[in-house]
Amino acid sequence: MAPVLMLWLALCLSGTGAVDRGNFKTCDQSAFCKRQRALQPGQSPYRALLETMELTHTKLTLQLINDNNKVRLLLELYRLQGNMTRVKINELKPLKPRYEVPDVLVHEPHSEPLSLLSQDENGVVLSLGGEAQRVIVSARPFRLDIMEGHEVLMSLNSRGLLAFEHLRMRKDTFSYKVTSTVASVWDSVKWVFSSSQADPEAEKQEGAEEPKADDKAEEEKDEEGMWEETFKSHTDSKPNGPSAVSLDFSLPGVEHVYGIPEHAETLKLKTTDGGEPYRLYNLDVFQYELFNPMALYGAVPVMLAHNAQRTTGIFWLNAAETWVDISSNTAGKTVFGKMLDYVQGSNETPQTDVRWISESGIIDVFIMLGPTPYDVFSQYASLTGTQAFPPLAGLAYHQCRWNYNDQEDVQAVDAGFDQHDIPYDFIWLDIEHTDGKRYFTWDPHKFATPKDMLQGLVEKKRKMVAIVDPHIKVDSDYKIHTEIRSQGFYIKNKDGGDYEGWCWPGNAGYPDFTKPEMRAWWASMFAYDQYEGSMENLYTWNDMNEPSVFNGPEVTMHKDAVHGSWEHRDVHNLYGFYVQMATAEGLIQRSGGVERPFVLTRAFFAGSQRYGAVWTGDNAAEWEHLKISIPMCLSLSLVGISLCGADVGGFFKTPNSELLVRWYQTGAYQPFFRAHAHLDTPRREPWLFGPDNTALIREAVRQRYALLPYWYQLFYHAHRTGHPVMRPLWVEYPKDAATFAMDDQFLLGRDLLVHPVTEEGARGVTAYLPGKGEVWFDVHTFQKHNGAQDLYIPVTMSSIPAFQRGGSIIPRKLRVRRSSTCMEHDPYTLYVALSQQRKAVGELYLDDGHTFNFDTKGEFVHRKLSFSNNVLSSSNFAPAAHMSTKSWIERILILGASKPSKVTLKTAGGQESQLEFEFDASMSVLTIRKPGMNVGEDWSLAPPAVRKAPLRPSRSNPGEDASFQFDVNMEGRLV
Amino acid sequence: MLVSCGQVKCDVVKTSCCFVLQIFAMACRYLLLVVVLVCVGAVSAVEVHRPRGVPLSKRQFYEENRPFTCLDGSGTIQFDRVNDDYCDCKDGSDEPGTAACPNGSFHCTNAGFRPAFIPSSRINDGICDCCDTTDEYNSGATCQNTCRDLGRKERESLRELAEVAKEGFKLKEQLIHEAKKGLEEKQVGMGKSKVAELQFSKKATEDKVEALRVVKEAAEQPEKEAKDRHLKAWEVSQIPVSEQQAVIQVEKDKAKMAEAFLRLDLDADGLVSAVELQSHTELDPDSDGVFTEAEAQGVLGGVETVDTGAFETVWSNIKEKYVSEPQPDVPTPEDPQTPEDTREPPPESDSEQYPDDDIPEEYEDDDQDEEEDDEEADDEDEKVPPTVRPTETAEEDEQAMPPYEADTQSLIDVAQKARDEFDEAERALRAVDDQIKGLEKEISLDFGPSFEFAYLYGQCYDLTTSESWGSWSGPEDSVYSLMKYDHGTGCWQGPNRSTTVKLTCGKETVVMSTSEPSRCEYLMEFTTPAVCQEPPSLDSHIHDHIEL
Repeated sequence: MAPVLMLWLALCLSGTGAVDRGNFKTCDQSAFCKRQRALQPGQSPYRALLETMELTHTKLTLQLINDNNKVRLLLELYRLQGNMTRVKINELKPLKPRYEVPDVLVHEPHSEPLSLLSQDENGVVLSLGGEAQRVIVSARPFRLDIMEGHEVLMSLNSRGLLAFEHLRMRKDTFSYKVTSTVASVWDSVKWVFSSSQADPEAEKQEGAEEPKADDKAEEEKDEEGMWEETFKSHTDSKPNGPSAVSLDFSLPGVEHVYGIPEHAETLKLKTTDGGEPYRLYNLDVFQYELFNPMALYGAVPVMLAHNAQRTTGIFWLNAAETWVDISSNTAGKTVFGKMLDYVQGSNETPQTDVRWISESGIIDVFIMLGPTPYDVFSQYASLTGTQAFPPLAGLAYHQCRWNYNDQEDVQAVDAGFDQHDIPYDFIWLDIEHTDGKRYFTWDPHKFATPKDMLQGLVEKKRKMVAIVDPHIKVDSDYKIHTEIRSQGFYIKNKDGGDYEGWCWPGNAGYPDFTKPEMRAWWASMFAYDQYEGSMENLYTWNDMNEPSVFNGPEVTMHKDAVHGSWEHRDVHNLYGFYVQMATAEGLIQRSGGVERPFVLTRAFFAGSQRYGAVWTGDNAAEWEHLKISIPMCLSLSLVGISLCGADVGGFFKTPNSELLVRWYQTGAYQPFFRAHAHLDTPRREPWLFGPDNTALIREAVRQRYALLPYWYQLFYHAHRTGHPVMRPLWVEYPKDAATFAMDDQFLLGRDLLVHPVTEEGARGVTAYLPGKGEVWFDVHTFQKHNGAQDLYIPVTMSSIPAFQRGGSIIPRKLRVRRSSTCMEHDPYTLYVALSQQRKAVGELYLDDGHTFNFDTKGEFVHRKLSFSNNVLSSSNFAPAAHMSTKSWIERILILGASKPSKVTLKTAGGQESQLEFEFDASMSVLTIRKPGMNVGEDWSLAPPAVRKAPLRPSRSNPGEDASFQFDVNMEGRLV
Repeated sequence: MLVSCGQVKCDVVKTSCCFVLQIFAMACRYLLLVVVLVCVGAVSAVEVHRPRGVPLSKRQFYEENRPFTCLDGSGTIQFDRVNDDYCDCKDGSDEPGTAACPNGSFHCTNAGFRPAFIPSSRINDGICDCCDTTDEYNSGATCQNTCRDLGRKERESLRELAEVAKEGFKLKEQLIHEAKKGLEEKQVGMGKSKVAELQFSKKATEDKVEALRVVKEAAEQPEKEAKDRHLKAWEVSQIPVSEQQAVIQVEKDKAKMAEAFLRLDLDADGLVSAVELQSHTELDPDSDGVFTEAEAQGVLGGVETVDTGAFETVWSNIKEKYVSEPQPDVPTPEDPQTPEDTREPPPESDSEQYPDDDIPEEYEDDDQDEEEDDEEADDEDEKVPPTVRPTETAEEDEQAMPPYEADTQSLIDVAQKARDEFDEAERALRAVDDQIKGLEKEISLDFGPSFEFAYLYGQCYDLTTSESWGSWSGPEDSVYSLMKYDHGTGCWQGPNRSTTVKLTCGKETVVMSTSEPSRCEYLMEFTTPAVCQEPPSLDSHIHDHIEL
């Protein structure tokens, strides 16, 4: 351990308390990025060979030719179900296959027919189905424009930055001359197969042009860094030579683009003119800096573009190192931008231009045409899947630290939570719990009897997460290692041996998770009889899966390492995705497919949402880090990953009690709520900061637990629809430009707006309450505020400013117990917040909280709650679902209500009973005492509600309305 | 009456002694438990009905069929709303037996063990909290009544603890007695006290030093004159010509510089400071007899401290003036006036005999002591030279002077004897001084209200850390149950190392365990009679009621 730590420190400690930028590449230091970025716009050498166009019922294919080197590309254009267009560009005849990202798409997307609208020598116009959407393919230079009516939604290669470095033989080698002949023979054979449907005429033509192209290609100069590249003593051998791909997108009318996590950046992405592009390359960055485009632990190559009329998205499906340039004619206009303005004759229309550059693979891009934000979410979800539905406990509070020292420590912390009456569901064990960083094992002295420890937690209805990292200690006495080695599952180095690098255990191998057999074997290791000491309440955390290699280039793996027939270069950003996939599969399998897994990952890619939770890595105990947790998780939410959180308290350094309390308050309203701390920081369990702070933290955690029914329901929705749980305001208020760049507050679902206090010594915050004509209720005081205003809220240390939207119904469980499982059968309190129109709708979802039975057996309860015409009713959202529950409704609060004369409950059996209620005139809150209906009864058969007396149509003076009769019609039964 | 009296008393006890030192509190609680149990037994015959979760002490507030007023007075409800699984009172007092109120508490009688309050949220949560199982009456949890077991175990451990406490307390009394005696001896003011004794002996030693100084000076004067004569005679006969000799001269100069540096560096921190320089009054630039710190800084080139590198420059300026100490056998060629009152350590010829910089830095006084010890060892070395050394000195001797004549030598011998005696006396004086300081420090430390911790002073219970004594840091009612040592060396990104020592009553003074609960924060568990509290001599009661 000591030498490893030393090494790690040596690697990482060269800066003082912040990232050492010198350890990570700039675009200039990454040869392909430098080459690509040097290309000048407006000089595209690519031309569409319209005569090669083929239109089948699923796609359009078309060859492109680079007039400089005569290399041909094959363009495939698909119209996908749900208003998406897919553009795929590959070499027509690559020297060897180029990597196409597998396993990220949930299935091959369903395509819809394209129809030819017109065609001439300059291009082709195709219909994209309804709404007058067309795609125009221009031939010279090649360009795609997606139109709706007269409006251009998006243009591809409009700046002429399409670039496709074809695979080539290295000229200075002997083998080039020998194999080029063989290769061309092989190519011809392959060509015959792949173009079996092609017009024989075209084929002939092709054959004639072929030698010319080759001749020309040889004239291309090799640039530095094409065949070898060195960064900080690490040499990348690049046996395949240059292979970068690049394409530009223009977004007319767009000023706001979002997404492409993970960056420690504001929600609204900045232009990169004159600076570094945003980088997507999964890296273990030590003490990352804020507000810059450096790559972090994960990468989701998805960008959203938004204006008041439309939201669109670009999904660039490529797992290699990727850089994204953003420029805008409104912010920091470029000369070219101005030129374009001049050419287009409009100075007014804002435009954002985006350019993607990847080191290898192909161009495979999905253009999601919205038009609403929710359409884009659904479109993206249809491609990569939705958020895994976590066990309910996963949404509760997690207590973590590097490290809880031993079983006694775990027991003492567990007891501490009970002693201080703070709920928690999960306690976490970091790397020190293992026997010498051998994952799947336990330290024989400190964790001698893990099952006893886990059983102790079972008895408290609590759970544990233990870390399992993907680097495997090279040790011939370690079963995991010997099995992986003997099965040949390790990633290989460029010379064919097992790749080895330094990580926590010292010398370590890295299993090749891109292999399905490897993943299946890994999953089998989580079986209870394989993972000794594991039990059903033990879950998993995958850290260091970028992968982190302490002695590798940029603290990660050499790009020329080998995964079967692919280089690490091709698959790098997928590694963490696969690790989490295999681990989640293992947790499912060990329960025979019954239990939902809970797996946290640090590295991720598009589609990682399907496998569990993500956190923002090794942040620091600083106010700025607290603030940036909001935009970082919002950016992840926008690209499908809803279960996101930041280490509460900050990983590095030591928070003072104010920061810690504020972080708990913020974390309590963020999806993944886990406190974590570095090994070298003082202990910071919630009760170590004096009784006042303990009480403040207790209250924040309790608010979280009370709101768990709402969280759970939001995650159910995220799982069903792909809609994010934590949302930027603009998603709900897409026409309100004031919200477009807002990232100090957020919405949970539609109905809860949270503006956490993230300023040191704050005495007040100014929250923006959106929505003209809407009202918002302070969740703590029930005070009503109008929408579309900046509201100053004075705050104290206990304040967590949060507002419920008028028109919504939020369920809570106010009997907060020591873990979420203890609250399973507890009754609900409904918070009905009336809109200006005196209406409200909401939902109530529940199931067993931990199995797939909601999905496989329909065992859940999903109620629709609505309030209108002064009647509150509950109807069944999912008539096919069935489940019985002991839970009942103990209280209903109606915010913004008027005082009724009586409240009558009607149950399914037709019985009527009068309910007691209280009315707080100062805040207009009606509290109905103990209505008592069971929430799990089958209500679908209930007759519609019948009012007992006519209602006054006008509610202008409700307080004076003595004869007003308030009915609460419910179908259910009294317990 | 008996019950409520006991209840009150118990509360008092509970607040006066808890946490680590629970012996007294536990014993007391036990007693009260016994009392309560007796009462329960007596009262149960009358069958007192009370709502679930209400302690006996509050049963009078829950009168059946009469409206219930929330205990905080916030409202009044019908009695059927008590424990009806809906929270009506802000203080939760209407739901003592259900989980309806977020701030409520539930009372378990736990017959056979101690009664307890648990938060309402633990009622029917499927987890057995009360040993009498009363908290899980409707959750389906299968709880075993463990109160009798727990009670028996507690009584057993209480008895054991009480025995330990009893014996420990006896030891403690002994310790207190000894400490008081020791303290009295040490304290100033009492005619016979140790400090006073030492003060007295100090005065005597000082006088002796003064007397010996006069003797020494008297003896040194003729010695010096004789030596000068000898030197001059020799110098005339020596004409240094060869280059080799010049090189040797440079080497010697360097050696001298190194030696001087080590000598000047009194605290052996690798830096010579202005303060350290001040002791060399011969270096006083204006030779006004007052060598100020500022002047010393001037000598050092205007800085506070110099390292060996920077010292080279300084050396070239001061080497003419610098006097290490009288060198009987190798007089410096141009010997300036030897300052008579130099506080320099006694002579020695090889600075390399100094130990490395691993001298403990705790007290400067200690440093000096140790240096002196080393010097003594050096002196011995000179008398019986080690095998390596003679070769070096032999080489030097080739260029050195011829031996002194007999009469000069005898003068030197006399002077040397006077010097030795003077040095001896000075050392004795410093030793007495240190002893006095040590005692004064000891007296000023907090050894507990009855000095029961005094016996631990200076004792070491093997845990190698570098923190220094901080303070007693137990909770207010048992401050002496925790010791805090802090401001140790810093940890990367972490706190300075610190150690907390938890003291519990025991017959012996033993380290029970050491651990690192948080990085760089160590915990030692320690038993000592010094924290034993007087057992409330309840043995008879405990024995009487064991059967319950």
